[in-house]
Amino acid sequence: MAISDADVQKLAQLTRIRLADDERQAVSESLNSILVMMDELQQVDVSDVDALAHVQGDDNPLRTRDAQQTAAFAAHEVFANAPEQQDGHFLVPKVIE
Amino acid sequence: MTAVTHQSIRALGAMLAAGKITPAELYQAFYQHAQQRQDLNAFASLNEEGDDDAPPVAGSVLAGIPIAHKSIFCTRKQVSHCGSKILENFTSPFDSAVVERCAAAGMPTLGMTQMDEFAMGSSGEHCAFGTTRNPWHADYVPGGSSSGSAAAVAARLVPAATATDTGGSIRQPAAFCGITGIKPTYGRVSRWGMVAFASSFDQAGVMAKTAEDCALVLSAIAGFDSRDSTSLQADSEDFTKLFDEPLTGLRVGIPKEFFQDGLDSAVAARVQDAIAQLQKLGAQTVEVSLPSFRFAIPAYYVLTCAEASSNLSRFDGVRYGARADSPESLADLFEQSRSRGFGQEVKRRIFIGAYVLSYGYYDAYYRRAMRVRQLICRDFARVFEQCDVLAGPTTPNAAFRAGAVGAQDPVAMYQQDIYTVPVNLAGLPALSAPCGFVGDLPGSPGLPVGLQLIGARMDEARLLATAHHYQRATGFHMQTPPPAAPAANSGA
Repeated sequence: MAISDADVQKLAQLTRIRLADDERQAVSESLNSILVMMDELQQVDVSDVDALAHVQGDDNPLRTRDAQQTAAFAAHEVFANAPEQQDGHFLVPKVIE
Repeated sequence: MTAVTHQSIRALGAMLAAGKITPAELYQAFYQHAQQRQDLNAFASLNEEGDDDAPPVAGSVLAGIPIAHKSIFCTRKQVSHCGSKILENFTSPFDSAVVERCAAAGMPTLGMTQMDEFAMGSSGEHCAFGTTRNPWHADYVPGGSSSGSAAAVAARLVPAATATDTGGSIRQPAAFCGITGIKPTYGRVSRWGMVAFASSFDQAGVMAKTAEDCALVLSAIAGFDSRDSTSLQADSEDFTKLFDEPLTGLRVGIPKEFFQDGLDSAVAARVQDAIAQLQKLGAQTVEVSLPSFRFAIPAYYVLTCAEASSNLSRFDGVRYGARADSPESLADLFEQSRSRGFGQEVKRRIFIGAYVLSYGYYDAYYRRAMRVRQLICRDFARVFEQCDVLAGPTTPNAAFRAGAVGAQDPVAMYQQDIYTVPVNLAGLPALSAPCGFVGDLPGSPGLPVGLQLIGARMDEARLLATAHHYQRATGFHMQTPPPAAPAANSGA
């Protein structure tokens, strides 16, 4: 399998990362190099193997917890990192015309 | 007398207890030393005053011992930039569990350390705020991603530092810098407040001069935390508890795949010497095999990139982090903020992650990699029926020159983690301890080599005890890098 220029454009769009036209070629080459390495996985016989999503398996069952009231952040603490804010809201460019 | 900055945590604790030095004097000794070594670029920020509101903690062996935190850990007092421009000015509204527990043990925070962006890198070169230097030689990399923590401990700028290990980011820089570093069992240390890279792999740990110092700090930060849904329901332990037991009868497995193609012969020789030393201390060795070893790197990159592409979607320039100037639309705001905020390596991994998760490729890559992860877990389960710990190299080579690896092909950099990533796929504990030097560098014993010890799940105490006995019999961990060249302009 190989990643085409159209694939790179699609990936950039999906991940909201813009690539300049002159960047795409280098990105495409490095992604294809990584893909060649990852293609080694196609050699493994996994026919009788279940997928493992998590190393903890059954050892750490999901916990049911009692509802707890915990300290919340004050609004000014949350907004301290906001790039733009107004009246207790995060400001973004107009979405609806 | 050995400089105060070269003492072990226990020795420093004894000096504090006997009143030979005050906590403020001790803090200043490290602060001044760190200030003088800014050439290393180990610290992202230094805290001049210490934590003056930190309560005195009676009975803690760590009270008054300064610590540095990798800037992946959130803290209310300093910027946690995670090596990325997108978090350049980010100060968290809360403390991570690791920072909180160090503070509760009475450890003042000396500063935050540099790192590869979002912990993606094996050299410290993928940091938006400059490359950290290897204290053994400024032309060489310190390893990564916990580059600053490793360099700071190696240069004796701080007694211990926190770090994280997703695929080797504690052990590999520990090996390159000649210090001891432990990555605990997945889930041992809470991930609460730790910036997520690949959530099913990320684990916090400790870097210090010795196995004993690592054990003391690990005892303080390990243990269940209800705020992390993957936190293991196990209390912390005294990780020095097996230090008095001799190594007699310890079964040390030697994975044959760790000594095949790609391993530098001088590194192999140092590691073989270390294994012979373990035998002298009473251990028995047994050759073992991890048949799926060679598929660890591809499986690791499929899975961690997939998790990263999802985790890093939260950085959008809206609620926190850097935002593009004058965006034309909301989509433009997202795209400009992310394109400018992320570095090249991070973008690459996000693209790969999105690719392997996309329709048509999910089964061929992502699901297949999850199945290979199962095979690797089975390999380890099988070998731990034959032995108690595994021993081998941490890295295929000693530190390399800055710019020498991965500039043309990222895969060359990924191969640096060939001996460390299988451990993360299986969630096991492992450490790296200094076991000698290679190469010929003027004015220096050479570049450090790391011995990797891998343990069964929850068996950190045995790993640390094994390394402790090794360190009592050898002196590699006590060797220090050359002091800094005098500053050209001391009046600056």
